Amino acid sequence: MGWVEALTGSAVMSAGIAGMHYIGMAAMRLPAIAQYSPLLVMCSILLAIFFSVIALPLAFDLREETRWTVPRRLGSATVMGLAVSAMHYTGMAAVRFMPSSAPDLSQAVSISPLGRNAIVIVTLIVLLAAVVTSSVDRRTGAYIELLNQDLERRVAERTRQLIAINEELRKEIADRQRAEDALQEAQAGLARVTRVLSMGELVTSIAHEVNQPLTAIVTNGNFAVRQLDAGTPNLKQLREAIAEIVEDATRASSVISRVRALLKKGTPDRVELDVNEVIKETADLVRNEATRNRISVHLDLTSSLPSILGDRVQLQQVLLNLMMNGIDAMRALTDQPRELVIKSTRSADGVAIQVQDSGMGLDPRQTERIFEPYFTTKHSGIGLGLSISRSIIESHGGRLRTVPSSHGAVFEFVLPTDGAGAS
Amino acid sequence: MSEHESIVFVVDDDPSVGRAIKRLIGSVGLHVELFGSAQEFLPSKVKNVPSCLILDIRLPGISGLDFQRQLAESNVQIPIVFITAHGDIPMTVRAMKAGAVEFLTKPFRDQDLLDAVHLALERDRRRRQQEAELAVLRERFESLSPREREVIAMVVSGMLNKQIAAQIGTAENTVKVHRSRAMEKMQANSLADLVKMIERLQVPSAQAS
Repeated sequence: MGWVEALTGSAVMSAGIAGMHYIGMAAMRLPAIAQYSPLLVMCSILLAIFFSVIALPLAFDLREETRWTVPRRLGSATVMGLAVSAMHYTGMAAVRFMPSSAPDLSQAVSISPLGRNAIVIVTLIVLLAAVVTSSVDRRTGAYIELLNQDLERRVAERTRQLIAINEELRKEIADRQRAEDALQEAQAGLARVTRVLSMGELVTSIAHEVNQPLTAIVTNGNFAVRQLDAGTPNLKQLREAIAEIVEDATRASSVISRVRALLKKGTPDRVELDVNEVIKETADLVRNEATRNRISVHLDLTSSLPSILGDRVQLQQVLLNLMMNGIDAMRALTDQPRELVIKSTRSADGVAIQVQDSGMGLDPRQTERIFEPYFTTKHSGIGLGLSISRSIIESHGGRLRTVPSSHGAVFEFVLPTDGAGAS
Repeated sequence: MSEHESIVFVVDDDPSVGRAIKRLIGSVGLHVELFGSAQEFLPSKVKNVPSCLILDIRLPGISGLDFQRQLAESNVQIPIVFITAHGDIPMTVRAMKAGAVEFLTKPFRDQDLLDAVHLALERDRRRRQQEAELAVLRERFESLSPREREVIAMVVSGMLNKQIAAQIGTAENTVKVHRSRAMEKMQANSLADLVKMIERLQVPSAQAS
């Protein structure tokens, strides 16, 4: 209870006491005239306010305290009594009676004994009601107190639970971090596997490439032996056959050295590379696979591009992946031309390489998902090719993305020429 | 090309392999024509002389196996010798079932290829000869009158002259006349000869009712 409430309450209370006193005085019918001393009247009212100010906080604080209720209640009642009596007696002291004629009883009321009894009973009922109300009020207070305690207990319990949950979450986060680390490790392992896998796909193609010159060599060799055995060799034809044997043997050995370069293991290199050369070498590897699927491979290379810093094998792997994807995408085409176009151009921040097929194109809703690990649109794919390609390009400080196209799918990666982004 | 006794066609997309094969086969006196793709080898190039086709399985545009089927569908009958860098068993089975003469894996032994080519040419020669004979027989059969055809159909199904006469409602002597005239036209020396001829012509034999 604040001071403002205390003062307001005291003023109302004093007004009640003083009002009762002076109206009571005015109701008196005496053969005299009452005269009031203004100073004492003022004094009586001030006294009433003074004691009320003390009594009210004492009375109302009771609701909030659990101890000392009885002494405080007694103290409050005594002070309240003091307010009433001090006002009354000072008020009485302020009045002086002057004798006069017979009293004017025109407005007086005569109260029968029955009336008096009724007034007493009603007063008692009002008092009783006040006592009951106050008691209920106190009990409500106690109940609220009980509710408050319960609430506090529940808040404390919930806080404990929250702390426990928090702890669990922290543990879960740590677990997840561990799982993520393990996943990354597994992915790195799988990257090695897919490199071997895509190599496996190519082995068939490469075997064919080596086998063709070998077939020609064996056949030409047989022809030469037959000619010599016949005794009268056609020297012109014999010379042609031997020249072709040399040519085909050189061709076979160059295929093998290219494959060896692709298989070479080791940490990523950063050497100066001519992008066009890397594209040509990789295109040679897929050309046979493309031919088998009636796909023409077209290179659209910008000459004298600045060299880039990178790992030849890794970049070949990316190109190989994009080209094989393009070939896969066109395998099922029946009525459209099948063309794989590889372009190299100079771009603002380096060299841009585009691989474009004339297949069905990409589902626009999946242009980002295709880079996610294990996402695949092929029947037999594990969905790591593009995800690994992207990480290879990013490790070269470049970026791999799809380019919107009205015709087939287009993948583009940009490699910085200064090699600053290379790690 | 008809001046050649026989022609060997080679379809291989690798020019150096093609040239080597041409050289080898040419050295045993056979005429070789070389094509880089299946599209270049048009059926119209097959002349009326014994021929065979050496076909690579792996070709640009169309696989050798599909080309084999295409030829069969357009009724081009030419014995095929397949050559492939890596033939698997299903591939071989498919090729042989569709009538291939041989299935050789690159690099092949020269004698294997030459043997396969000779076998294929021999097979084509025989087929052509049989077809020519059949054409003659067909011509003879065409010269028969409807009645004569009816009668010999019953004869080769084993009916007696008497039975045939009863069936077609004529005299036995008339049947004998039809029969001897038909034998003469078909140039059949005996009943057994006639039965063989009719069998080769695949004429449905009449059923005794």
